[in-house]
Amino acid sequence: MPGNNHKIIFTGPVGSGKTTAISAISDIPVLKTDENAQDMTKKRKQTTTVAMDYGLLNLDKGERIHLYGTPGQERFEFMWDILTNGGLGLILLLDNSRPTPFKDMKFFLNAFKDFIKNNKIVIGITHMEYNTTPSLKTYNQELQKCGINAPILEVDARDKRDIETLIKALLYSLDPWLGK
Amino acid sequence: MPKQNTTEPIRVTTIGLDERSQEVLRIAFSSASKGTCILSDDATADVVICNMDSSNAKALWNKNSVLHPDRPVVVISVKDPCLDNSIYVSKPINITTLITSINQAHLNRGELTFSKVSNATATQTQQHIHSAPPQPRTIQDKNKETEEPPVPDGQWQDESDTVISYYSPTDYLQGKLQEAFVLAKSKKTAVQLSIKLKGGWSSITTDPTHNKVISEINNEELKSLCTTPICCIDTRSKLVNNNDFFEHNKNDKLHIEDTNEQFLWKIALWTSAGRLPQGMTPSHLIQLKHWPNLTRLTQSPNDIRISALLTEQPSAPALIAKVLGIPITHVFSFYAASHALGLTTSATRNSAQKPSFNIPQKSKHHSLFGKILNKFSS
Repeated sequence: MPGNNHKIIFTGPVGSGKTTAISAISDIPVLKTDENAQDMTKKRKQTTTVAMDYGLLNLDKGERIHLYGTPGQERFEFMWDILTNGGLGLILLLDNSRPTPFKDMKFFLNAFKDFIKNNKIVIGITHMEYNTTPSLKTYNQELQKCGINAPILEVDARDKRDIETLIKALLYSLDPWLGK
Repeated sequence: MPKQNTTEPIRVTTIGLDERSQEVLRIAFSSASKGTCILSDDATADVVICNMDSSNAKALWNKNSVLHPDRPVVVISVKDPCLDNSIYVSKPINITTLITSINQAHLNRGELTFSKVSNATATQTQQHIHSAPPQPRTIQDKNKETEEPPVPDGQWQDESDTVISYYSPTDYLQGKLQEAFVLAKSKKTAVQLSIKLKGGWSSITTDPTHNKVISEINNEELKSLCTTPICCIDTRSKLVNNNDFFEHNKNDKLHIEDTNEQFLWKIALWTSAGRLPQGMTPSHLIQLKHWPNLTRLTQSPNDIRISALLTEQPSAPALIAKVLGIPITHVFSFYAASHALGLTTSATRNSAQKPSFNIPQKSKHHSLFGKILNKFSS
């Protein structure tokens, strides 16, 4: 049945690269719902996502994967449950240039804890090229303290291959039989 | 394969191989040699296979030389020990090559007069021909290179496979580089390892302060160096001032720059070439502490799949290969690289106990996920 509702959700704080990552792999131009940034967000970028981003992967036989990007601001937290409903997996992007990336990680892990309990999550760390600390090793240590085992990979949200590798890590974590 | 000049099968005995390996050989002979070779007892054997990587290999070799001075010997080993009156077959063992060598040894019995070559005087080319591990094939995965360890036809890949090729990283450039990394870290300054190549000396410099490795040697040359025994390579190492080093290299475009992890990962991958580091066995339980940073490391075949399994639960390389349906050489290479970066842990179990492994369930979205992967690889 082509009219499915399979989706992969991209989440993370403001400026972590969610919109860019979806644009990198989407088969359609990403539908953005950006507004001029207000309050604290303006310090990081001129516009920000206020509802959600939407992209699409067209597969064989008319099947599709919807790509949803959550708004990064915490005041839109009420939307996250709605967006994750029916999701295949979660991609959390974290910006290594933000002052407290571990706090961000824990915040999003907690916000999506019910979804993560029943599904899989992969974490992509962006902006590492100019901000080498904290290192991936430290991220992994912090993640293990949260009792979660998930891939953490360095990514450039603009690089299609990086985002594809993140999704592959998600898929093989969900189903190691793939490729056999 | 050369034909025998007799209808009688060649009787083959082994030294330095355990019972399980002999059983594997017996099965391999019955299927691949079409009855030309059979395992037999020591007293009646026409040819002997000597595993020079076994712990008491030298003693067994000497004993065999005394008791059966005229019996042809096929030597199997990771490195060519350059022994007199023998035919050398490099590990990992290709069964076709082994049978051909047995036939050749049998046909030429009494004529094998190979001269012994000492490591100190051997040229690099001679050593390379004799002892280099199988060269990895390079396949293109989109725009990235993937290192494909060799999987010779007829190589045994199940759990009972004990004729596995082993190597010690310290016998190769990897060992020297790891020493340099440790020295640099302890001295908190850059360490330069210079290597003599055809065109003169080229350097690999590791800088712990900036977590960088700068190599004047290109990847193709590095790959070749990785599988050359270190005894055949001239190296020198020295401490260098970090600032001087970066000033010197600022405008030099003829170099490769990696992080320490990226560099060591690829060196370990190329050195392994489908072999297992000594100290490990195919049935030894291992687990990954966490995922390798696969977006920034040289790809190896099935790296994502192996990572997904090995971060979930401890498992043995042989079991991973079986569960995923992949060549065990892929698991060995992945293990070698992960181990070099300190990402692996060993799990202990009773030696009599079979590895416990929770076979993962196939997802209800299996087909859909397959389509997503197909899209990414198209």
